[in-house]
Amino acid sequence: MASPTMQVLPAIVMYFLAFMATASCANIEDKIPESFKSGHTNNWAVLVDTSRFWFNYRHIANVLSMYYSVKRLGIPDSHIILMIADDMACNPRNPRPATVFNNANQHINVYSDDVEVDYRGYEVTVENFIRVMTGRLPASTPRSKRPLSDDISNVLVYMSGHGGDGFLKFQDAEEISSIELADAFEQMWQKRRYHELMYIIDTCQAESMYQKFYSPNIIGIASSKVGEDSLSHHVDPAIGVYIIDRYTYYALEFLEMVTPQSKKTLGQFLKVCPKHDCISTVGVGTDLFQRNVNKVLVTDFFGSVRNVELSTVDVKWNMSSPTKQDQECRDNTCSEM
Amino acid sequence: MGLLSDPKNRVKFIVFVSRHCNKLCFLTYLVGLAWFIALAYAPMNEKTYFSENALLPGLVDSEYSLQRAAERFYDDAKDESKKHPRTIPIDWISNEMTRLGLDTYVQNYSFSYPLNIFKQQTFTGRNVYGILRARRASNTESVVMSLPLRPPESILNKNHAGLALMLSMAKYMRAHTYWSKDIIFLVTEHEGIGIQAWLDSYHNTRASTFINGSDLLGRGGSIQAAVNLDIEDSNIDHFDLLLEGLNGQLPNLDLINTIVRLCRKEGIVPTIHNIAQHYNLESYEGFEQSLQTMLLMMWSQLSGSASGNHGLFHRYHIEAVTMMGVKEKRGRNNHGFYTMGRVMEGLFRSLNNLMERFHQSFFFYLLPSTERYVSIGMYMPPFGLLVVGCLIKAIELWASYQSSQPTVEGEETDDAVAGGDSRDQDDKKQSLSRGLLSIAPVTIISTMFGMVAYYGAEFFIATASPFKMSPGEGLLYGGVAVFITAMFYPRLLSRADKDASLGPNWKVLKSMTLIMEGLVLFSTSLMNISLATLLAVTMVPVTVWIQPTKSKNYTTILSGEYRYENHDM
Repeated sequence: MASPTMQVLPAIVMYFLAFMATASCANIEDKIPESFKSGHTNNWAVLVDTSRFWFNYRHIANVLSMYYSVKRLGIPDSHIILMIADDMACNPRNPRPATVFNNANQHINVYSDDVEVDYRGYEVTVENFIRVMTGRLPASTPRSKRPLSDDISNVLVYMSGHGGDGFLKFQDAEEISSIELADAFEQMWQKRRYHELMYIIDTCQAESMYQKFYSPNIIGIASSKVGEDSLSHHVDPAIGVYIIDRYTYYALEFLEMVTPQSKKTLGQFLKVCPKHDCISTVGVGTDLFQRNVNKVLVTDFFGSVRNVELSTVDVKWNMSSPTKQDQECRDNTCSEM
Repeated sequence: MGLLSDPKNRVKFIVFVSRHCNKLCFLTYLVGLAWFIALAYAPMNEKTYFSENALLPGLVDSEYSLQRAAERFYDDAKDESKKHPRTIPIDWISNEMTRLGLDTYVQNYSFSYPLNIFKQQTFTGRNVYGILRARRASNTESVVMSLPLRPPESILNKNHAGLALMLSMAKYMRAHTYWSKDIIFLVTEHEGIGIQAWLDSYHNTRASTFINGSDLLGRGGSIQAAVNLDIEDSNIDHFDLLLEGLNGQLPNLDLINTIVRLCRKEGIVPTIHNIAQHYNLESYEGFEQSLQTMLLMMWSQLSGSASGNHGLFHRYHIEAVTMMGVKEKRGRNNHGFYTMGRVMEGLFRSLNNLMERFHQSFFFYLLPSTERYVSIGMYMPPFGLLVVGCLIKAIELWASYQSSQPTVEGEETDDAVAGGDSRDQDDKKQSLSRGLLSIAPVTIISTMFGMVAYYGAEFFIATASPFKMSPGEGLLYGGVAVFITAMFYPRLLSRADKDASLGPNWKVLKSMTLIMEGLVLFSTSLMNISLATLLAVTMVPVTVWIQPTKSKNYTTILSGEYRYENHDM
């Protein structure tokens, strides 16, 4: 039969441990894993190629190479919206049918069996692009065509094609202007569809496309400044087309060195392709971005890093209570939409 | 009263023009002529460039290596043609094409000669063509490789080497899957007649009542471009490009640029009228050579007849050019089927990349050399200067005619020139219209003589044979007869009419005809600049300067003609 002290002993031990735990509350922030400090928990990518026709093979190769890198670094197909305006692999002029290469050495077929194109051919229009970004899609749109990002997603938007001062050409028939794009991103911000957004554009006079942005937490990277042309990198003489653009070529070279555990920073990525490599000047717009780019990991945007750590420590989250408006929006009852 | 222009300035302009008329006419003509000739000089014209981005010329490596097969085809073709001395071995070609795996068809056609030559006897001929279907594309477009084949008895190049090249190209192209358009390999007989029969049947048109082609059983979609081959031997010195089509129409400049770029890539020299581009275009020799090329091109264009079979494609909006493989007796270069095949392969790969018909580059141009061009925007100003002398003279003559008309007292002559309102409007109108109407009989009868010359050709040829003349001689003498009658007709007509004041006023006649001449020259220049320039250079000085003469010698010969009225001078 246990004595009264024996019955009380577990309780005393527990109280002692709890005291110890609360005493160590002061250093709680050190216990939170790094990956939860950046503020995002999931990654989305929207990769768009806007030009069609056989001689624009390189734009499709650009986008598919980005898709390949982004998938390799962990973002799954369900979180990637891939928009490609024409079919190069099955183009009758392709001497290597069912393949798309991004290099003359033809080592990597970027159009292999696990490519999922969400918007293909004539579905790649300005209207569809803006609907994808702002979420104003009809209810019947399948999930694969619908980006379901929220306010703790980091979104990567990559666009390639033919552009000019203040516009980007879609499908040889229409254009999207930089102001429309800025407004679309503002709608995204208002609807809390992103936590941070990285916008990369590889066209002629690309810088003009991000100059009009006014929403917070956006970083813009362009392959050329206003008044400059972005140039293609090299010809594949076996296929007979220009196969990749300069900025994307050097960006991919950088990304090849990146693994999901890599500690490479965004600051290093922004230095990719100096003028002697790219011939055009790479433009970077960080004025709307809150964090210091030298402390941001490349995988914050290009990869989908989910660190799962089993912690034995009790952590009390110091979350500020949501405002009434936020709470309403969370419950889908707010009027401002 | 001027509603749209200021009468005072108009008057000043007309007075200025009238005072300096002769100087202006002379000056503009000389400047126009010098400027036109100077266009051949390199700094005055532009370097050719590619307007169509889709072409990607020369980017892809050529893989053609069937030169041995081509040599075998060459020997076989020569042997086969010996068996048919008067015609071409259609059946053998048809068999070869079928063996290569093309959809082969033979077309029969018949033709007779116009103008009743050979008394409506009909002749027959046959074309054969094979279609290489593009397996991975929808067969809505095609490109043509055509070949005029000649029998052994012909004086022209038999073109067996061209046939060998074409068959080896067909064999090569059949082995590859990257064609997005059908390729039609066409062999025709009887030069332009065979091609015209084929094109007529292909497009379901009837361009000529004298050529009848049978219906085609196989087609390849709408034709985007055509290349005509005329190769003299299995070893050639250079490729000569023949551009001029029917009525002076030219193919799109991008097609020429593609061929020139590919020839350069394979190391074979492209020429225009057998003249290559000079290595130093800015020197005097370079200018001389460029001028010679440009003038030869203009000479060939102004005749209005096609310089090769390609010229018949242009009417159907198909860009076509003839590539002639020329063998020089003492040529330094030697290019065989290998080089020729690679050039053709590169050309067809570029044409394969097209998505639309050629429409970006120039359709109206002159080529001083293979890599420089003179566009319509560059040659129209000097041409305008050449012809503006007519108009200046016409204004001056009309102004002087107006000022010599009877005017109301107290009114200035200037007002009359400006055509202002006055009480004597009716009077002036009467004299005006009498002046204008008086030239009507002359003009109408001259036009009628022109029509007689144009429509009477058949009559002249029909009347030639009773006089034991050839049709050509009959035509010539008939034309001369019409010309002499036209010159002397006023003498025949004005005998009855002694009243000189009802005859044509020479100033009105001349000014109206100068305006007509300017009109005709400018309209012709829009279609065939070479013809218009030649006519302008020869006709404008003569017609502007000519005026009635007081010389007794002339008036006695042509008595009654152009007897000027004293009171007008």
